[in-house]
Amino acid sequence: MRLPETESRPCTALHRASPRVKLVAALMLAAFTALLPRRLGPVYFAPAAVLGGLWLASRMPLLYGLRRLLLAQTFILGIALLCLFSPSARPGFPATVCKSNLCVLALLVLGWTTPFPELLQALRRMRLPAVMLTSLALMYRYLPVLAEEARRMERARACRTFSRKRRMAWQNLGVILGRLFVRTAERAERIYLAMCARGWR
Amino acid sequence: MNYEAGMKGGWGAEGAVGLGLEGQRLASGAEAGVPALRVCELSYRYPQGRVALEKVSFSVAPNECIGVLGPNGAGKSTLLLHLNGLLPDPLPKEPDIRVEDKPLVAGTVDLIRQRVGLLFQDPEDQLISASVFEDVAFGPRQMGVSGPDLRGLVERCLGLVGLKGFEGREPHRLSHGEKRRVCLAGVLACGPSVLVLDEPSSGLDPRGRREFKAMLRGLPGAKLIATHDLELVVDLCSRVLILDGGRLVAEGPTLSLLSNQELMLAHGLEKPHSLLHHHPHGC
Amino acid sequence: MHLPDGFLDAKTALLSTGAAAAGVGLALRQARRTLEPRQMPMLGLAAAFVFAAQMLNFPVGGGTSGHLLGGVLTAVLLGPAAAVVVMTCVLVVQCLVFNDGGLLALGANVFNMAIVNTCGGFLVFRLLKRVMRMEDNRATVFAAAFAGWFGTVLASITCAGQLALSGQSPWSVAFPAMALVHMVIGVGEGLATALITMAVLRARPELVAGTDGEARAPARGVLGYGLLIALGLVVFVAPFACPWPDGLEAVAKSLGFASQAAPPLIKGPVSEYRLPFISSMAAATAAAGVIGAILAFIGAYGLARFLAPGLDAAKKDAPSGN
Repeated sequence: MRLPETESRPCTALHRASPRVKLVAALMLAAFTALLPRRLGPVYFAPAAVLGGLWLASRMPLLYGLRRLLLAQTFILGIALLCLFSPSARPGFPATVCKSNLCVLALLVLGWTTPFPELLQALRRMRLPAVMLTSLALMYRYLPVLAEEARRMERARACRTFSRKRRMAWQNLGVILGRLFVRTAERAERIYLAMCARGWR
Repeated sequence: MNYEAGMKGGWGAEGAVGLGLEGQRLASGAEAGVPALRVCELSYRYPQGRVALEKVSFSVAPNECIGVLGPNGAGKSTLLLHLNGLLPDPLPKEPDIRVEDKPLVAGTVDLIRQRVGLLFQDPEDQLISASVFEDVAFGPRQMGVSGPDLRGLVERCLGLVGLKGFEGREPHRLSHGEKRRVCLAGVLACGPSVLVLDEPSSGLDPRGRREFKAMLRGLPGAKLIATHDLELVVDLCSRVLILDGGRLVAEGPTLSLLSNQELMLAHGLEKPHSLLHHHPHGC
Repeated sequence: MHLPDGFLDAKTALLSTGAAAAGVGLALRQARRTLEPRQMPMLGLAAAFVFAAQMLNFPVGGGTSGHLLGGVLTAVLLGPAAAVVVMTCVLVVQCLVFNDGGLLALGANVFNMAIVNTCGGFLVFRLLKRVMRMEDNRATVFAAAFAGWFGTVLASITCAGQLALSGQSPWSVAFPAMALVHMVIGVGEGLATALITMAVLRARPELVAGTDGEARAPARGVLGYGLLIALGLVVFVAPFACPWPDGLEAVAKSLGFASQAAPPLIKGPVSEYRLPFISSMAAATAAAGVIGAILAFIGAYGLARFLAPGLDAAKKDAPSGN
């Protein structure tokens, strides 16, 4: 699992802006876009222009943005296709796809300019409950650790698996994930001790 | 990298790296005759019933460095967890452990946890925050330090472990040695007078081991090092405790104990290379 | 099932976000009360575990692979309150870091996947465990397998309801499409849930908290989730699934939706389509659902017997008194 690499990102004004402002701005942009009428029209240029400008200002690489947008199409088109099956909803298809993509773009720019730990700070100021914040922080921190453990266990299993049967694959995955859960629980226990050792209550 | 240089007036007796916690500190261990740590007949049984420690007793003088050796399963890590009150849960009313002559009971455990800094074996378990700065700041934050004081403290501690400028780095992109040093910085930031280290050199490459050893040598205060790294013990520790099956089977000066081939082999250890060939390392 | 932005209209998004907030709030309160401090870090770590688990490929055949959703699994392993918090964390990170699921749709996604899937599945899990006369491990595996299937299907239904209520896609299209697809996906989910639960039971049975009975999920708390899910079904599904159009006119008027411009949809699919095969799609899907549930039940039973056969035999062989 590759967490987005934030250390080598450019430092633009957008990157330096307050994360709370950015989060609220993204929300408002997305809300405005989502509430646009279900027919493509000139009003769509407004959010498109704003987002295009933000893309440029944030110096997000073109390929990176396009690649992420492409990935998002699987979900967007998948659900949007449902409205093709109904005569009354069909005309709304292009508008819906457009809206969706603009909203994804807003989230992309937010993610590019604001590393997740900063977003957590913003959420903390917005009074998100402490349990959620700690859990989100720990989750983000240990994602790559657990992903690496899972990958290592998969590799070790692959070295000892000589059959291509699907049943074996499922059973192996079950065992791997079961063991990963146990190791995660044990690690959580050690993390608790380490936090207490430095004064956490 | 000269770690000793940062030590003058650094942390220790006169202010725990400038934390100014005088009002809350226990009696300084610099008072004559008071051991930094004293353990009296400590016993512990796992919840499943197995005996982990049996009547272990020893003491550590204020600036002494002690090695804790023993085969796997001897109870070293369990012993270390007792030294800052993480075990047993809940703490006993009759304390088996005294830190700077204060008993380790439920009422004093918060203060004692600040005085006894525990470095865990796997830095991955101790490095819990999203950035190096946040992690080193974790301990002092719990103690109420904030603002420019906090920033200065984190900077000093990172300097002590040779990681100047690492504040903004992300933990999962650090090397194993760097992670371990960040954890040490985080422990030092709490201003302990006793450092307890669980396998500090495990997983380090030879250069990492050398640098870590030099760094440890430069840190004042009492140190207790549980390790399999016998060369580290020969270089840093004046005294050694040998645990086996939960019992303290031997205690004494490093060179004489470690030169005793029979004793070492009897407890799953061996005579270290440097003593085998009669040339102590000068590193 | 992650809904992107731009599909839900304002009222649906607000309703789902409100329901999600209520559910997560309930879960946080319950977690604070029932979890000990030493279990708090596990919430974050379990979220990382679910995410890592979702990354692994479960081969389905023909070159495609499926992925675990993990809501019911988490509820079986950690209890419903912790599971809701964990799945919410997963969804938040997926939205903010990986752009999987929209920001405004986060409320709906949390409601569907963290509450309906997780708690709906857990309720069924508890019910089955209590009702089936099976020895403990086998009952757990069986209940987990069926609950995994059920939770997935139920979440897809509320998702379809949200799409229909938004006027995005008519119920007669959304419901069959979502429900039928997820009845198939749910098989994999139930299977994976059962396999992983069995593996944990074998290694460290004390870690399966969902079987803890009163300790982890006091009846009052579980009732809370049940009510929330029922409310969700009433708001998102009932207007469409209800076979009495006049009755639902009344419901719609009292809920204030009848005045909305979008739906002739609320009148029911019959008014929109004259083609018989489409108008009965919804009914056909419902019938398929019942059949699917029976098949899932049987399949789960067989799976449980296969995965946990040994305990009875082992008990017979083991010398009495150890």
